[in-house]
Amino acid sequence: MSKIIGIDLGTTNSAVAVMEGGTAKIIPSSEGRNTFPSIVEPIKGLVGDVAKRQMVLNSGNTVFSVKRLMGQKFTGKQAQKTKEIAPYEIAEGKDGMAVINLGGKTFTPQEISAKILQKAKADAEAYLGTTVTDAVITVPAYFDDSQRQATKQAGEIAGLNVQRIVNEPTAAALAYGLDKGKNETVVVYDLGGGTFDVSILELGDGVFEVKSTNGDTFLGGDDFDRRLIDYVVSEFKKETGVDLSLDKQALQRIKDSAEKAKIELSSATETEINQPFITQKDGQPQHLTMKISRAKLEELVDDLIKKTIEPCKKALADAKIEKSHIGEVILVGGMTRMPKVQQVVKDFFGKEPNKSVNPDEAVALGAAIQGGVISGDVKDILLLDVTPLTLGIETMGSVMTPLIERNTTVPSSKSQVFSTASDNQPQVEVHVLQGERPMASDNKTLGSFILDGIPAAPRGIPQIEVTFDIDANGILNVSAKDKATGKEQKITIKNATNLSDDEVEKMKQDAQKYAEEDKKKKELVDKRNEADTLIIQTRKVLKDAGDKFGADAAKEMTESLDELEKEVKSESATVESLDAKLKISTELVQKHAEALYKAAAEKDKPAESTTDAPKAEGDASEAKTDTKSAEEGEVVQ
Amino acid sequence: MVKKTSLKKTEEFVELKSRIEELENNYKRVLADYQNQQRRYKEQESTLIKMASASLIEKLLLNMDALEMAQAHLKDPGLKIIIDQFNSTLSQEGLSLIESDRKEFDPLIMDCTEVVPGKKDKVIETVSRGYYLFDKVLRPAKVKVGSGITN
Repeated sequence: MSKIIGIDLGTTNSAVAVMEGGTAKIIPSSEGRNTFPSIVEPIKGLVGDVAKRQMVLNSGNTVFSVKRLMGQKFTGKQAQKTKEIAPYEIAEGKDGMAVINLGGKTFTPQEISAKILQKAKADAEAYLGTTVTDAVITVPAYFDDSQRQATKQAGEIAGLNVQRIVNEPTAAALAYGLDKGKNETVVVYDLGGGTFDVSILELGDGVFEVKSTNGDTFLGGDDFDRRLIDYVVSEFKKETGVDLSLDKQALQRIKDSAEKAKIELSSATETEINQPFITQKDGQPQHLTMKISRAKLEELVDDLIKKTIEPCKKALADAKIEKSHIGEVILVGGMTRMPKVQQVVKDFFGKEPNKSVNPDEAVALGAAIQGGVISGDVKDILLLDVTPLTLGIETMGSVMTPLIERNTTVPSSKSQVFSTASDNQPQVEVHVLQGERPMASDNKTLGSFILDGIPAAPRGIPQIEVTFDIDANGILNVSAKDKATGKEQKITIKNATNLSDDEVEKMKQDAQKYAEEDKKKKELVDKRNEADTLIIQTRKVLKDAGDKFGADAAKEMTESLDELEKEVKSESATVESLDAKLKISTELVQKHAEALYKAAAEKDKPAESTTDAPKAEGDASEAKTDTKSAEEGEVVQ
Repeated sequence: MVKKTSLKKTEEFVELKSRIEELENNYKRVLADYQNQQRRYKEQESTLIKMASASLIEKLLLNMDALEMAQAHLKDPGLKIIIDQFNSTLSQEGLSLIESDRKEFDPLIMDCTEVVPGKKDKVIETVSRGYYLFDKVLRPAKVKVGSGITN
């Protein structure tokens, strides 16, 4: 069976997605964007961005928001309201249905929508490299039977077998992965370019039921843009006396930069609109530069956001559901990126909204997942599990060193080479851990074993390869192998991925809760390890070549190292106290090492002296590299 | 009794056979997905490298527009050199101009922002230049198009 694509046939924008490798993916349009405008010029057959570009020139023949006319009677409220704002001609067709007259021809809304679907199909075919015949198309939850029928017909005209018509909020919930077993009430808050919808869904055993839906079919991001444009124009007029609203080119530039500013203000608290040479006054060029704060934008659109609350109240009342019973609030539509919108939603529902899926893409992704379920793609591939928590081992200083990171798709395998922490260490203990905390003791122990018979060698020399191998059933095999002798030990841990949701959640929350504390603990261990390495290495150098330094220097260094060691062993040591002592010792060692190389250079030919300075530096950095490997790569005894 | 067992075995056999088929199908499907993705990745890799600078260049074009607007007003020879330099740097990265002045309006490469008196469907004025990055339209030219009515 070929792939079933999912299409979000939107009022202002549309998007296409498909299941690939077990996950839903957005298919980019031929223009390279993830969504395209739902705009059609049917005479020349232009759809999307291209149709939008010629809209000004050809407004009478360019159809936008056709979704508002789908399955509508000409005399109906919706069709009449659309007629007021549409520059194209809406007329009464067969059975009193609304149709569009342009270029001497009559088009049904289905035919126009079919053009959008055809583009979706063509883009998908170009992307997949095969023909596409089947699709799942989404519609608003409030669409009645005739509107759904019309959407299905549009699909058929476009040459697609419409496998299913899915409610947009249901698709969004699927994209958010809310179908997995839980029984809960979900609110879908969808604020798009031109419409606002809120739906209450009841989820039970993989079945979605729309309990209620409400909204405002004429409220969206475009209204937000307009507010900002009006503000910029009026401010400019106040400043210069020039009315830019009369200058179409200037207005176009303001529109572009207002849209950009609006998007920027979702992440920044202030932005600037810069349009030099926007107009002329008394022969002098006028420039538009205006700072706009997030607070200002929020003030400008405050009532628009508030307008979404009434429908939310009604939807709750219709569903007869208390706010306290809501399990999840999910956000759909580009406008929900605005922090103020998120805040208002949170304040109203008393719950942090889930925004883990790109709000522009959620509906199309959900449609693709539905398509995957129908074609059988999803059922089996979703069996591929991910590790819910990080798996790793304990290393020097009781640190957890991760090998398989959280959310890795299994089966998966990873090895890393570790070494010993002290000289002539005969064995290492491999302590297998699961969790997100940096210190070993805060994580869950899955098991441990000892690899012995390591030949006597200085610390850091033996190479012990630790391999984590987790199969599709969540069975974890951990092995440790001494590369020198080939000696190997292993352990098998069953159900490494099999934790209850609550357990996983608790561990993740703990990791977050203790993040600051853990960071400090880890820093302290890292400092201790760093100091330890310096002590051991410098002592070794002093032992091997101490006489070269001269008695005074050697004594000075030894004393400083003893001092440092005392601090390392002290219970009350802090990162700062260690760092202070470590700095003194490091500088001392570097100073003497440099002097040593300088002296050696003077003895040799002068020509070589230029190469000496970097060598001294090289030594110092080498010590540092070693420190790092000790931090990350050593197994404690 | 003997018959019953063999019947059970046959059932089991059929079930196993269908299970194998199902698994084999799934395996093929996943493999196909993977291979397709690999193929697409290969296809995209070269374009990706080529088009990596697209979003940066697109932003720089706004600065270029500003410079050109300044030049239209100031007509300063020094500024002209700066603009030329800027242009030549970007053209080395694969940027080229979309010819739009006096051309027939084409929505594939142009964006009509205003309709003005003039020859029908002809570009009367380019408001902001359009550019190709290699063979792709990076930014359509913003143009004023003739309405067919001349005054």
